[in-house]
Formats: sequence, C-alpha cells, structure tokens
Amino acid sequence: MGIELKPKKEKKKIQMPTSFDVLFYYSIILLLFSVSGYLLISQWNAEMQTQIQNREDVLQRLESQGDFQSNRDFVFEQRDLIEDYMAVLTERNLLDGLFIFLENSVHPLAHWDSVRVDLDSGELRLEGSIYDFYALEQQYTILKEFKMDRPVYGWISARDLDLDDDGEPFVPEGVNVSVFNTPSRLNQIEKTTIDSETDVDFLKKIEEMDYMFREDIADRSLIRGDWYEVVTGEEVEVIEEVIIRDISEIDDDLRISFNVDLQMNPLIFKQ
Amino acid sequence: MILTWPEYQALQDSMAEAQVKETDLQNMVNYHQAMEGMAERLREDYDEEIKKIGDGIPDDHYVPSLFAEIRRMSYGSGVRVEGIGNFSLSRGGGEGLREVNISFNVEGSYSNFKSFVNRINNSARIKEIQEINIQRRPTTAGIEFLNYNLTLTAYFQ
Repeated sequence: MGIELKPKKEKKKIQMPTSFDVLFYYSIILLLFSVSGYLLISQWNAEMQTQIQNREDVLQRLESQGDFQSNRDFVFEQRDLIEDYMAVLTERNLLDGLFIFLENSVHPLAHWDSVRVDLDSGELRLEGSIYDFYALEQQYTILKEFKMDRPVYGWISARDLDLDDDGEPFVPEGVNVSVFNTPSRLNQIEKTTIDSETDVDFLKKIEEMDYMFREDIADRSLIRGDWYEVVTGEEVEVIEEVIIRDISEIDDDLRISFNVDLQMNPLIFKQ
Repeated sequence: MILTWPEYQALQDSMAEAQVKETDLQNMVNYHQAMEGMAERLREDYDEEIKKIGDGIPDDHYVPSLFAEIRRMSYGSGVRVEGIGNFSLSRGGGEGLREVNISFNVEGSYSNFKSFVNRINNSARIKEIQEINIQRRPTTAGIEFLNYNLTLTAYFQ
C-alpha cells in the first residue's frame, strides 16, 4: 500500500486590514460626509439668503407703503404740534400775579404813575409818589417782603391718590401734581376737586394724547381711569430784588416822587 | 473640510442675519400697526382736540384776523385799542413755532383792562403778553383812565 501524501492544507490566514486601509476607508467616508455636508450647508445657506432677501423686500415694501408713510407723518406732525402747544401753554406769561401784586403792594399813602414790566425777564419799574420818607421806608419793606399764594393747577390719576379716614381722596406727599407732567414746585395740597368744565376735559384729553405718544401704545392702561384736577399752592416770594432810585421832594407839594426797580420772581407770571 | 468649514461659518452668519431681519420685520409690523392705530385714534377720538390745538396755533400768522380779534375783545371789555397795525414775525416758542409780535395801546379803566387781559388769556388762539407799560392819565370827570402799552405775542406753525 502506498501512502498517499497529501500536502497539508495550509490554513487560510485572515488578512487584517492594514492601518493604511483603515485610513483610506475613513478618508473615503469623511470625504463623502464632507461633500454631502458641504452641499447640504450650501443649500441651507442659499435658503437663508433667500429668506433674508425676502424679509428685506417685505421691510422695504412696508416702509414705502403710502398709508404707512402718511400715518407716520400725521402722527409725528400731531405729536410735534401737541408738544409745542403744551410748551407754549405752560410756559406763557400770565398777568394775574402782577395784578395781585400791584393791587396789594401799594402803601396807603402812595400811588403809582407808571408801571413798566418785562414779563420775560421779570423786570418791573414803578414810578410814583408817596407822602413822606417814613412812608417810603414802609413802602420799601412792603415791596421787599411781599409774598403771595400761587395756585398751581395740575392733574393726578385716581390711581395715585390715597383715601383719608373719611374716604375722601387726597394727594399723598411726594407725588408730583403736574400740569402736563411738568414737575410741580409746590408741595402743599390745598384742595382736590373733580373737574367738570369743558376746558378741563380738553386739557385732560391733551394729557392723554401726550401719554399716548410718550408711552408705548400697549401701556394705554396708564391713561385709563379717573383723573382729578388738583389745586396746589404755596406762599412764594414775589420780589427778588428792590432798588429805590431817583428820590426827590416835589416842590409845591409835600410829597416825594421816586422810582423803584424790582426783579420779580418769574414764577409769579406762570400758571 | 477646507471648503465645508467656511461654508458652515457663512451659514452661521446667515442664520444670525436672518434672525436680525426677522426681528426687524416683526418690529416694523408692530410699528406699522401702532402708527395705524395711533393715527386712527387721533383722527377719531381726538379730532376735536386737534382742531382746538390748530385754532390755538394756526398754520399761518393770520395777522388781520388777529387784529380783528383784539378789536373785538376790546369792545367786549370796554377798553379802547389804538395804534394796532404794526407787527413783526420771528421764530420762537416751541421748536417749530413762529411768533407774531404786535404792539398797541389800550385806554380804559383798570378793571376793564383786567377784563381785556382775561379775554386775551382765554381766547382760542394762544396769546401772551410780553411787555406792559401802564401810565396814569389825568382824571376826567372823576373817572381815572389809564394808558397801557402792550407787546403781545401770538404763535403759528
């Protein structure tokens, strides 16, 4: 018997990928990801640009719309006009204080022949005559120490009021009572009344409009509710400076003629 | 990678820009609505007040009607107005306002003059007395008359 010699089958070895292969495949995958990522991102980017362009177009269309422009022009025009109106109304000079001063500051033995007032600067020149030097001295003191209760009319929302023990509303200390929100320089509360006159309603509405312009439209709650007209007052010095000039005796009369230059407190001429 | 990264950066920028534009657009829409609402409210709810403000500060100086109004007020309060006619225009008051300045003489009793001033202060067209010069006149028939020289300012847009 012959022995058949079979060559021993060599076991097939599993071939492990080399690190080069791994790197190669990774590179391929990475490349695929990169390319698809790039394409995807490019597409998104393009979509984003289209979105941006669309929004810009809408913005431009909105801005150039005729009714938008006319509304905006109208609102700003009215706002400017109301601001000017309020400024003029609150800053203008009134003569009430001057009349009170002239009527109450003259010495019983004196009379004025001439009164010249510049309401903007508050300069007042009085020319007159008086019985004698003692009276003149008294006249000087009267002028120098003249004080006046100056009323200031303002507005306050019912929300800012407190109620006293009897349930009557009063303005708490430290709350600004204002005419068109200009801070009041006064702090003494004299009385509080609910408005009733037409003009009062008008002013109240102007104040509402002012709020509307200054506050966002969403904050309209600020102007809702009741408003009270309040009158506050404080004793104010009327005269800041008194200078008596040109004193001379009138020959055929025993009287004395004199001039007085006064610097008045500008508050006197304001509401 | 070299290409993707800059593209990614560009995308980030675009997204941020789109967000900003979106906010702008939203704000613009809100602003648009607010303006529309305000204009509508002014026209409907405040029509009368706007008219009154227009009367207080008219769109032109309207000097002749101003003179006529002063005359009318003088008749109503018992004083005599003289020398009315001179005026000057200037810029002043509020930022966009212009002024008409007029000077004239008034003759009458003190109480009538006060009534005249009261009418000036309460008239629809806003007026302001800037200067006043009062002179005594010799008494006639027991009545003391005074001369007043007034400088008065009215405003227009």
